[in-house]
Amino acid sequence: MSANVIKKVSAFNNNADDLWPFITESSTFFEQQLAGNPKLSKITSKVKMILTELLTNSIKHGAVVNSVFNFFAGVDSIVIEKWDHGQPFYLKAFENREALTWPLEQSVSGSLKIYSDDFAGLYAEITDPCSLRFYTEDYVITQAGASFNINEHFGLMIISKLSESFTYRYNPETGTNLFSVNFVL
Amino acid sequence: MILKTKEEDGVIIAEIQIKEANLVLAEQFKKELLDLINMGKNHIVLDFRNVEYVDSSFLGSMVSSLKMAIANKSDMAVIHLNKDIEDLFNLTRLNKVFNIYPNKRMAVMAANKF
Repeated sequence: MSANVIKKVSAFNNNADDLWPFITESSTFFEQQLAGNPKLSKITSKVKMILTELLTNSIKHGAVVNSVFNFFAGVDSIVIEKWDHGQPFYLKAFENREALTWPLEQSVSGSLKIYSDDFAGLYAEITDPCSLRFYTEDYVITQAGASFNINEHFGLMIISKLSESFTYRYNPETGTNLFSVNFVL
Repeated sequence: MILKTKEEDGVIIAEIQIKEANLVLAEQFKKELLDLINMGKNHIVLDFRNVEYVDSSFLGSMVSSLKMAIANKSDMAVIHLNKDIEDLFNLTRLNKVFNIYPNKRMAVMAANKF
């Protein structure tokens, strides 16, 4: 991100009824900062989808009163950060893996599969014992139609697919969760 | 009620009557859709003409209902997706599991070919 970055900070009360007003207000910030950008409509659409999923995630899983959002609008990229003190990102048992707790043990390394179905998988690369970088893989579809296995959870996958970088960091000393999303304009 | 339904040529057209299809109404939407499936409606077309945006919770309810529909040998299609929602279907690859048509006429024609 270049030096010419405008920042906005907003608090979300994790009330589902305030979801849409918050998304509208936040995307207006980017519309104002990026006015004249020929891709503005596409950028706004992305921002709304990413924000929707971050907010929904807070409401469903965060169990906290407030989340704080930092919005950074640069000339060439956008960053959206969500901070809260809710439950750490839960790495549940999956396939042959047991549930994991934070900070991750040194013996746990590489990539973790978060969930998958016949169509795609969501993975997290462990970048250090307190950090993950999410990424997705689309699978070659071998069957569709009458019989298929498809997940009913799409939130993190949507954010990951829409962004250049989607990361999570847990701070065990402060109990702070940080989700950070970056995408190039 | 989220769904306003009418029957045309043996096909249930279920118009979604909300602008913001998100987690607030996802469960109610699923319940109404499952009620239609459990009533033995074999062809259901979800009309998104009023919907401005959809979130992952709502998509999850759709997928869950589709699974039930398939188990009941029913089919489900969607029509009138706006650009953002169509992009979301493509992104999540739900375009591979839902039949997507531009309008009611084409969805009804396709349903009657089954």
